Amino acid sequence: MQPVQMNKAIHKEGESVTVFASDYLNKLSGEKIEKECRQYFESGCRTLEVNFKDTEFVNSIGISILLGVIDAASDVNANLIFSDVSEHTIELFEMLGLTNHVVLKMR
Amino acid sequence: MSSIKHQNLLASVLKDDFIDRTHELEKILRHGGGETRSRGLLVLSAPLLGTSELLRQTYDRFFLEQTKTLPIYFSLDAADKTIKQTAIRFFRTFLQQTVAFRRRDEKLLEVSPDIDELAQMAVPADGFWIDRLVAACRAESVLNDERLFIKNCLTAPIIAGSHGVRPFVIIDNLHEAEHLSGQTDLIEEIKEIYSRAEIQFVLAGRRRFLLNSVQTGNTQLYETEILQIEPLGFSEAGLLAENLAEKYKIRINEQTRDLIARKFLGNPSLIKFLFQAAKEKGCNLDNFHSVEQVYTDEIFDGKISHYYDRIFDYVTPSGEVQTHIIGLLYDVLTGEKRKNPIEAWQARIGQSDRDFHRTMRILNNSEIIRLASNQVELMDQGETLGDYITKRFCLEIEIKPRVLVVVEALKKFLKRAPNTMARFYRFNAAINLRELLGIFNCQEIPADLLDYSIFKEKHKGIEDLEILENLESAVEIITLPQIVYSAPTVEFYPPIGQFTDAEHSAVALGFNTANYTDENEVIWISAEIESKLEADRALAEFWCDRLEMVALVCNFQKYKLWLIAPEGFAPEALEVLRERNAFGSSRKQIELLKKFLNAEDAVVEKRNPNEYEMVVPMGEDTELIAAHTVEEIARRHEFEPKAINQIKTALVEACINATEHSLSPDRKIYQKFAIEEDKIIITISNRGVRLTDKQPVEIKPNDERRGWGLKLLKTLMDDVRFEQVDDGTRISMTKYLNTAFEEKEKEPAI
Repeated sequence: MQPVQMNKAIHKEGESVTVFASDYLNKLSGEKIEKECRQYFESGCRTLEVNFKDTEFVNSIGISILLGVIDAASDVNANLIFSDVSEHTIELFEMLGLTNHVVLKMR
Repeated sequence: MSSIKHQNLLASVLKDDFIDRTHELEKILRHGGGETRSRGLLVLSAPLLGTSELLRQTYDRFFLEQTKTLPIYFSLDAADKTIKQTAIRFFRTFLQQTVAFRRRDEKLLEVSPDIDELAQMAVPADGFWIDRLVAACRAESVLNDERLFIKNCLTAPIIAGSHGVRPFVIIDNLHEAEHLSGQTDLIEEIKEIYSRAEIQFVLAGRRRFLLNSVQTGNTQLYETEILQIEPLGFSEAGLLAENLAEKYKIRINEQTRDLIARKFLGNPSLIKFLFQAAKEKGCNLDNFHSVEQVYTDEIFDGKISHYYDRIFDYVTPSGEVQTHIIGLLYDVLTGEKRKNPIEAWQARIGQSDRDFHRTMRILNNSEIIRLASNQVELMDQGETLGDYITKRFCLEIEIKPRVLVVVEALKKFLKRAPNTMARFYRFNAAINLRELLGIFNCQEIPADLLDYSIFKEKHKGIEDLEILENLESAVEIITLPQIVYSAPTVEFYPPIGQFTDAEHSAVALGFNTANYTDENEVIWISAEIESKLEADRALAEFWCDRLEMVALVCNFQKYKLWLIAPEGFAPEALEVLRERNAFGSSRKQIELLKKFLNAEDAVVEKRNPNEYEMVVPMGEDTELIAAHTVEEIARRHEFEPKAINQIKTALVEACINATEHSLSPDRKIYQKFAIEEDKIIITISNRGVRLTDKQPVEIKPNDERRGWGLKLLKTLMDDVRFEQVDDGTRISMTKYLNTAFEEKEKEPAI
């Protein structure tokens, strides 16, 4: 797996990519991730990991944007993994039904 | 005029308490001091805007703060009955104010000496010409030549001017001249005398009467400068309310202060009437109920009612004719057509031509109606005029029992109060399309700022500064038209009012280049539309249809549609916009466009040791500051880490909710954390639109992915309550110390 820094990585077709979420996943940072992920899917990436190791907070708008990422992955049959997710964030994801659509890896 | 004295002579308000007329006051002071080009200044105002107080403040400043210019303030009064009596009073006022000023003895303004006593009290330097003036007036009076007598009286300040005195004459309430009888035309005499005089003067009165009077007749005062007095701004009206509350010892709060300021649209006299009524009744104005209760009493039998009663009584003492007028006004107030032909009015009122024209003139000058192009329109004076007309209609035409009308009015006013504020907040939150379009002046801008498809592709998720930097290298450029006129769309096509407010849609007329030819003419029809997510195809089609209907009805040949949705437009919606040759922009684009065009211009409760309060500004992720604070508090009181995370998340969601939906006027979130033995109670309040008053939004398929905040609050906390407040929203959330998250039943949202 090739970790990349947001907005700077250039994906090579067929490789898997890791995108790092920021410390607060809200509307602005969520949109950044969404844009990033969509770019990778469009360029052929079929395994994408969103890493939450730095993420302390996720709000409901951020979660709704993650659903958009899940949809985008589903449209291109890509594997989407949310990794290093804190226990509390997993609870939120469960509460709002995200866990049915994505592979979660706990912190 | 540097020394400041805290006293008033003619003014009724202390100088420091006089609200927001600094600009107007300075202009009149400069004019009185001879610093302007013209001799005359017309001060025009709608009724009840406090112009007389402004002029009396001017008089006091001249009297107390300098010695060179002799100020004279005279106000016409219908109680004089005749023009001759008015002239006598003018002459006496002139002498009294001259002698008081020249002797530097303001106490003389408070007594009523006769003309001979005043002449005797004059300073030696003035004795000669004052004696001659008095003698001249007496002689003409004996000869009983009214016109000459009136001329002599009115000329007195000019005589003073020729004896080394520099007078500044203010004649106020000139519209009252209409009520005076006599063989002379008072306004004509004043115009004739002062148009030739070499002294500074101010003529003031109701704008419709005065402007017409000075620009018609034998002498026309075209060379005078004009000062229009406008209602107080929202903040200044609030400040006035605070001052009156302090003066009359009436308790108010921020919410009622703002309601009062908004309710009367910054009209200082109406605001004062309300406070005077509250003082007389001995009640406070610290909740919407008490404000509306006092207001109801004012509409039914208070100063507001008496003010309008006097106008109608002056129009005609006939109850029957008044009833016809009220019926007609009520029709205009409640009917679909906001205006009626003047012929219909005359036929229904049944007065002779002469009486009818007098009726129309008085109603027009008093700004009850607006007469234009033979159409009669009800004036928009906020809520009071409509409420007064409705009261009289129910009592006098429908003949309903008074108690029933009062109760129905009070209920209506109470229900209206939060909506009044909500409309105001929405108004404030609107983009102000007319203002934005008004600065379009053939500028070249990157298409990224108008076309959402470009913006989404290139700039979504990027910080503003970076976007603005990127715009410098934009490839596609749009040249804006030069806009020469704009108005709310609803004024061109009233039916669109069903779908949008006046401030959310505008029509702008302009030219594609500054070359004014038919070919270059273009009309932009714009609207701000509601959508939580990117607007979808159906919504874009709906609005394009509505705006194209405006173009069709108004026979606009070359037009451009421009839709603005908060989050922009979905791809299918953008397709629709392309088909219709329309622009679609997001709110973020508008913010950036404004920057690009350089157009940017408590609840305090008793504390206990375990209560913490904080106020955070909305936006900029300040919810995190609140969350970290509550974390520290909860940890100190030994909440489990898991519960702390739940509390923090709930708090973040409550803050986001307040920020996103309240249109808060102060952009602040008030937070209180109260720790009790077994629980923490978090109260989040904000001012603005109440959650319960939010306009219903059409549910779109994608909307189910938003609006999760409230669900999270209810799931993460043990108890969530929405408390009743007059203005804004207050949420109280409780978390118990020993409840585990797992004990509660949770169901996934999707």
